Amino acid sequence: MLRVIILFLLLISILTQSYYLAGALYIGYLFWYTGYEIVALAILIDGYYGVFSSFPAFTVITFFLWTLLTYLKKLLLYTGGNEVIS
Amino acid sequence: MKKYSSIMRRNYRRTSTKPWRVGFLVTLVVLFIGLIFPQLIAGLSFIALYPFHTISVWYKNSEDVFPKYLRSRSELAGEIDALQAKIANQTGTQLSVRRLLEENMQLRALAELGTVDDRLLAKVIVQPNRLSYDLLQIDKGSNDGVQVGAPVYIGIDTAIGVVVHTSPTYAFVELVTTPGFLSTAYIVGPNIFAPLEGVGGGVARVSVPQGITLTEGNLVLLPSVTNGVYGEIVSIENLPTQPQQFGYVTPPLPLQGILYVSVDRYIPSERNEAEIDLAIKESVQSYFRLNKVDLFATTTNLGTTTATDTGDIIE
Repeated sequence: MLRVIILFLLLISILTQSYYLAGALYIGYLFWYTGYEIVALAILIDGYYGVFSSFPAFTVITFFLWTLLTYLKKLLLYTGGNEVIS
Repeated sequence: MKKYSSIMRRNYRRTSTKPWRVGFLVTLVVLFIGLIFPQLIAGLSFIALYPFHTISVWYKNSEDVFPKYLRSRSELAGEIDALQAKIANQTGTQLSVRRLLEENMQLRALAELGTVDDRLLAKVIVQPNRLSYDLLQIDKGSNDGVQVGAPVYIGIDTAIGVVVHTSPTYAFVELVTTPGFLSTAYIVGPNIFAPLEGVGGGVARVSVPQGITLTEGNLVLLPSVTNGVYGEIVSIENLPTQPQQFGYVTPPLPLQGILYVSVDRYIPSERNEAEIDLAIKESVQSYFRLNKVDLFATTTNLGTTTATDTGDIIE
């Protein structure tokens, strides 16, 4: 539920141009959840602003960060803190 | 592969890594489609974000109380920032202008001083932060004709103290504001004579009986010294229970700002009442006259302006 609320707030803050709030939510979401929903959100925002006709920078950056963080977490055997690897 | 969780205290199956790989592929595909058909993605995005678009339009343009409050708050915060920056900028400019103005006034006074024969121009070499307060050291001494007891002025007519010690190459000046320094002052406004006593720290005070109207800005003259203006009253201490009230007086320049002074070549002799009256009248009237330097500068400026204008007309 919290993830949905954060995504909702992120979307609203970007559309209302509250960029400080949006930046904080974006970074927080990427680090805490690293969910692929944020990439979908980035695609929607770039589509909304019509950036796909040139270069969808926000989508590409988000996609890159999401991939990097996902890979890093796998590399560091991050398991959510409740696992004993046998 | 089964794993044991120490928190959940049961075995569980490790989640597959498939979803993120699928997400990766789907994103790449969507990006690809978006780059080929940008209008399609734009349309779909607009449809998906329509509710959010409506909310943002409501926030940006609505005249309802809540969005209006949020908008005006952020606008006011921006305006406050802009005004603060403007004030800081203007304060800096005003300080520069004041500094230049004061420097200009000092230079004008010194230029006028060059025309007076009975004065010596001296540079202040040590000021109160390196001497005991209310004492100045000047670079002219007995070799130049400085005598103990000679009045010392800022510019042409602001008497600030007397020479108390001379050596061949330098002299010390005790300021009127030295604690215990007593002199007689004339206060313009109530037009009375009153004792002026130094209290130290660049401040002297006049004491007058209760009932006499003292106001801040009253000029204080030292009539025993030729044209001796001292300064103006900057603060008044008036306790109804006391028999007298005090007016605190400071010279027009802070002591740290005194760079040049002029020293009288002659020690003033004792003066009678008529002479003192005449000196006061002259001193007060001098504020209504332009001095020679001002007149010269004004005339020159007027002349230049006229010449330039005429030249422009001829061209």
